[in-house]
Amino acid sequence: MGMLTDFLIGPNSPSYDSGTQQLGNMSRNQWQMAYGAAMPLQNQLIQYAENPSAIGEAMQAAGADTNAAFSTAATDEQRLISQLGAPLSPEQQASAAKSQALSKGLATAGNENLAAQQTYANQQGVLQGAG
Amino acid sequence: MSLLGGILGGSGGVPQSPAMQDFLAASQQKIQNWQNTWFPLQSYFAAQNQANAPALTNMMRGQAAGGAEAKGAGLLQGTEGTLAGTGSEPGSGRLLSGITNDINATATAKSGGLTGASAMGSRNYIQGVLQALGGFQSDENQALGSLGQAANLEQGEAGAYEQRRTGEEAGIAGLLGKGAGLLMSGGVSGGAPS
Repeated sequence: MGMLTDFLIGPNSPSYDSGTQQLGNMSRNQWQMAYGAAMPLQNQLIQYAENPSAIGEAMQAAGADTNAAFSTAATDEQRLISQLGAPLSPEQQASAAKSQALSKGLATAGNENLAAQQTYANQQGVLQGAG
Repeated sequence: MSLLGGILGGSGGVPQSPAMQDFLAASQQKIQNWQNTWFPLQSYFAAQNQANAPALTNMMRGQAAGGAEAKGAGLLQGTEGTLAGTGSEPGSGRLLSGITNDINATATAKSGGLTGASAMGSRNYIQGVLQALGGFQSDENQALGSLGQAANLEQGEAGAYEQRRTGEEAGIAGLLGKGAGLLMSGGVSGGAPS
């Protein structure tokens, strides 16, 4: 009966209501918009979480911050001592330099460890947050 | 429209109940509201989070460094005052040791604060991105739910169409059968009944 019924009652496919079609189209559009906005953010987080050099970079930055802080400290120390009006003896200078070097070494190691641990925690946080 | 559709008044679609019309209108309104209002707002905050991240991190670093320096300055004043009060000379080993300790402690606190603030800045940024992402994922889920509803409606309409089509085909077959019966019995040709 195919061709005859097609002629009599129309082609063999339903015509959907415009309301349903509109809902489908708008929903598709909504999904595409949300997906398009989310994808770059997701990729950014995944890149950060999977970046093998992120910890090394954070450690380097921590080392640079520590160097800068102790460089300023050395200048401050010189200025303060000269303000006191009593120049340091060579022994005192050596003692002060040694003390500062030890403090700097300790701070550098501590800060680099801190940076490594926190960057690792941040990377893990991305995976946990996205999961 | 088909010949029979025209005769029988069929539209090819399924008549919508008032409840269905309300549902479709509400769904469309909700999606339009999201597209026009919430999505731009969500996108704006996501972009702001990205744009402000470096400045916020710098601000936290500045606060950490400033705080450490202020505490260090206070520490130094205290040391100088205490040692001067005990009669330490400007060039004395005790005073020098006290100053060196304070300055080193300040540098340690400052660099630790900077390191912590940098990590905190990264963490805040990640939290912001995750929050924005959560919003968009919720939108995706909502859209997928609406798509599922639309698919269900289409499926219902397809089923109703098939039912209607089967009924119409049966009706046509019945009409054709009756016509053939009439022809065979001579009822149509006008022959004299027996």
